[in-house]
Amino acid sequence: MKPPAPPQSPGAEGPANELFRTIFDAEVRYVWNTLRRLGARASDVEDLASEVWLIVYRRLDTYDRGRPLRPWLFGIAFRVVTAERRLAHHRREVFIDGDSAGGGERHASETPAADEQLSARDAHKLVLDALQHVDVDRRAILVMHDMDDAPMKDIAETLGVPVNTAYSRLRLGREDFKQALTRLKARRGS
Amino acid sequence: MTAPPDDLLDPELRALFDSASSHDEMPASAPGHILAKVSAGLLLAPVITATAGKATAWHALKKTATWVAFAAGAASGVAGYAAVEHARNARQAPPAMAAPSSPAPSVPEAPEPAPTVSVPALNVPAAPPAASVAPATTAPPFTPHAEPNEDAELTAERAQLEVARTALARGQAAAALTVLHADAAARPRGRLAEERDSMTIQALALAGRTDEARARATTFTRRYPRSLFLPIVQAAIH
Repeated sequence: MKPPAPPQSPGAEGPANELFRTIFDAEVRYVWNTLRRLGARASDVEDLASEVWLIVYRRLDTYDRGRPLRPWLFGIAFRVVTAERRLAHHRREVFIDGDSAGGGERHASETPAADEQLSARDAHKLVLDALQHVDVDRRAILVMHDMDDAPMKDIAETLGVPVNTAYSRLRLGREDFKQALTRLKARRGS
Repeated sequence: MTAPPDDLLDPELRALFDSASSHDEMPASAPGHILAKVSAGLLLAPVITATAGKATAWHALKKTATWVAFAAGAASGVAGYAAVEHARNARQAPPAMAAPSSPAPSVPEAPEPAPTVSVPALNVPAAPPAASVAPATTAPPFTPHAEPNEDAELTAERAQLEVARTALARGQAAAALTVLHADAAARPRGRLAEERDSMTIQALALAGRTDEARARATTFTRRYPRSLFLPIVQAAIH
């Protein structure tokens, strides 16, 4: 899934609000998904998204339209989430909220035998659950690189880390993710 | 740049991510709710930071009572801008009902003309605008200061609007109008003209100049049909 090109119009002299709405309409779903992947609980995501978009509205005049839009949005979402300390504070709660909670939302009939049998909804929940077990700095890179298909150079710039560090975190993040996935699948299948 | 070998994602994870990404979790109603909260945040944030705790802040906005009531509810999540900007903790307290965290800015009572507002002398919290999040190149922490390269004109424009907003929140319609008219004269094509126009309508309504407020609201609606400030404008004239 490739991100859309940064909006080119209206021009720099155009009303900021129109540009905001153009970006909002195109990327509201992306911001929502990003917040969820970064660890926002379903019950919080609408409020956090509002914070992100409020900042986007206020910051729009500083956005360099020559740069890709999604990493910029991701950077704002990442900072909103981490600034709230929701990840650290609610990590366990997010986990409990998820599909892996002790029987909470688990449906025996949906227990997958293999990944290809997972419905999109189950895959979505499984991925969100597993992501919560990945350190947040690694998670951010894993999400941007493997789910958003962002170039590592943009990721490194967005997060303010050297490219080599970003690659290292990607590798570690994938390991964490796979381990969590294995555990969650075993639990779901038991 | 040559990507390291581990740049490639193994097929199993790729399939899982693709499948997960195809699930659309966001409710259809969410964008509307988010936009409403953003609008509420635009209205509330300065009130929270500048005059929080003053009942007058809400009395001043009585003509937008319905909207504010909604916004107050929304603000638990949208304390938003202010929360990000100045008081991440504000989210924990009832919005705008918390004790003032800083002295209220001084707003000129002066009626017409002479907008002698000395922006630097005011204790208005730093330029609202989201100077808090550096979107990219540097490390995380939020900083409430404007970026160095943010142009001075925009900063001044924002500061003027904050003065007017504070006056509005205190019910000082004449003072707000003085600042807004002066700003409109100085920057007829200002980048925040839309926000300024919406505040002018609120101030006119607050001053009881209903006909003028409605006429301007009609123009505003035609000029900015998708404005985030439309709910505020509509609430002001009804």
